[in-house]
Amino acid sequence: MSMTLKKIALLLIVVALISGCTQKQKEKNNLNILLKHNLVKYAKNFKLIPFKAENSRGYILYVKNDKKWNVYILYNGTKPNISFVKNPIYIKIPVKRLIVMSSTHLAMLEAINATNCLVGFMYGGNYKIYFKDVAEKLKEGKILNVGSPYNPDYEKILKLHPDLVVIYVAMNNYKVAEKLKELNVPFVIDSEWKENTPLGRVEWVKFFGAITGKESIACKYFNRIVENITKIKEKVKDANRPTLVWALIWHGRVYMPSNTSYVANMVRDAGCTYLGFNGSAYTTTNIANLIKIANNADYFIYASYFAKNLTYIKNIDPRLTEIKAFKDGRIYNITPDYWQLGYIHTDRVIEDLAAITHPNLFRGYKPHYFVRLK
Amino acid sequence: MTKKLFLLLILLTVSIFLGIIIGSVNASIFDLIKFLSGKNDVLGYIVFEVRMPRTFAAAIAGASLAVSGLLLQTYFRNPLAGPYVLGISSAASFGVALYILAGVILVPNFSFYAPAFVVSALLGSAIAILVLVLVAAKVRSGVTLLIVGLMIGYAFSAVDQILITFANARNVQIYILWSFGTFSGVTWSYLEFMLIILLPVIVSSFFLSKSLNALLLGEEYAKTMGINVKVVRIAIMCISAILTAVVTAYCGIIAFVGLAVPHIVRLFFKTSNHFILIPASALAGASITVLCDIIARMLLNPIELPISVVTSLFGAPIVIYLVINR
Repeated sequence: MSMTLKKIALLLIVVALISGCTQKQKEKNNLNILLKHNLVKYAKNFKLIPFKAENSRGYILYVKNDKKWNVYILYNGTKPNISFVKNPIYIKIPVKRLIVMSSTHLAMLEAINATNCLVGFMYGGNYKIYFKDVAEKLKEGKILNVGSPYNPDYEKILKLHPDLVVIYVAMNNYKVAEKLKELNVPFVIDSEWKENTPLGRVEWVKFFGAITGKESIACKYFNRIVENITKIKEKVKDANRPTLVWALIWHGRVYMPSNTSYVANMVRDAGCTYLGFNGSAYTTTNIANLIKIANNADYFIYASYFAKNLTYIKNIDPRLTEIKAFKDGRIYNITPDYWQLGYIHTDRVIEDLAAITHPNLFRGYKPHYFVRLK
Repeated sequence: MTKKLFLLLILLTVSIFLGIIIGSVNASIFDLIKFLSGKNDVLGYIVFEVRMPRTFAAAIAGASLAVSGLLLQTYFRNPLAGPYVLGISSAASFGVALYILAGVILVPNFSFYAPAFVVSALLGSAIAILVLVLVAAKVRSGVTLLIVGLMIGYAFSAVDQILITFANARNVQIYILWSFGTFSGVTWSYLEFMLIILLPVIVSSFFLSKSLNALLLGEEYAKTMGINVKVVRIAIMCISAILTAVVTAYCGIIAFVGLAVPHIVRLFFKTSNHFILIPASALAGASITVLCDIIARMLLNPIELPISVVTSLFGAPIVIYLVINR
């Protein structure tokens, strides 16, 4: 008797599972996922899959954070019911009232001419904004300064009634996501800063395009950057590959992007050999190790705009005068707008590097984001 | 005395009221009432969800640190003792530094999980508390314990520094920011946890009042009064350490309150009776911290100052004035 009962129970479970699966399959078909493939090619930390439901269309957005994928349903129209995606967060697009946390987010919005939807920025107010329209609106209060990324002013954020807040979660602001969650403020944790290739980073523009309804502009912009970078790579493909070191020295400690970093890959795209250490995104070392690695490097990028001349480098440590790049006068610093405008013009940054290191191939070219120290 | 305690209670009520009504957005207590009565009011929501948890967190943290400081100053009979003298903060920082910095070094594409910061700080502190209690059970005098506490602090700081040496600039900045201390972003669930642990511990410290009064004249005298010094010593260590550890884990390091509030209270009440001093320190610590938090978030709004900057800058002159004029 008990065996028969067990069999019936088992049969019921199997039937339930099969019908559940069929239901989900049906739902998937009903959704008519336009492109079954991810729109994202280079970035590793997000996926964007378009869908079209009965009364709405949009994207299923996957963003990697904490080694898990957060799923967002970006929908335009009626809220779709997509139960085959586990615990999704629904966000109505296009977003009309957006708050962002980083100047890199500003850069992405600027690139697709979507800063109009900005109502708040976690600025803090301790650095210059190079995006003229944003700077002006911040001054006029049309974009509200809602505090720093590590201690934002939640009161102002709530008062702004944002449709969406785009944040990054690093060690200094890990509490922000939790507080926004408690406050029921819709937010997306972006991981663009974790991408380790230039195109991977730039591709996040598609995410900003999707949320602001500027998908086609974002795609055009991205394709243009890809095309330009491909051209540069083509141009330097057969040329010799000079060696390049990229470092910043602060209080005797040397900070260098590692061999797998975004910077290293950008330098490689410019036709150079990157000299760095293996490890996570950044390596911290001492000046002796830097000298060892930079001794015969053809070029040295000092990643700060505080360095105005070679004397500055000499004053950091006189031993630096012994490295090849110093003797040859091939030490460059970055311009103050590098971290903002350079983000929009990644192709230009790579072209600058390629032109600096392959002057014969780029005759008459004037670099913008790097300045030769004298 | 009771009158003065009542005054402090009023001060705390006023501070909390101010903490709730002052903010970057123009919201009042009526908005809160509207929200609580079920109306969909964003201003009331701001008061309830943003200002209330942080104000109550500031109050409970201030009370905890002040009581912790008082207990240690009495036990060590040292006016310079404070909650951080036992190395608890260094140990909590060590836990966090290990999580932040070692995690980054060992795990590629390391990401952060908010509760892990609290857990790592608590685990770091737990190591220090365990060592302290073990030592407290063995040593004969408070001075030895004080030295051990300081040494624990140095040892953990040293390990912190090793980890910092291997971290990149950004992570170091982040770690330093963590150690500054803030009540920003405190959620109701964090506050709940803080209250569940801290309130009973603060209340239990009151039961040590008689022993603390006896300890003012030294351990030997306390023994003659029939006090079990060893048990009291362990109890003081446990209470102070737990109070400090939980506050540090949730809000980072908050300077000055634990050291200065007991002085302010002693001078205000002109007594060394712990039946008065413990509740008074809790009330004064809570009020001062809440007021300092209001200054921290409003002075340069929307930029928020680290709470320790305010507690130290505004508190130090008050203590200097009180000490000189006593």
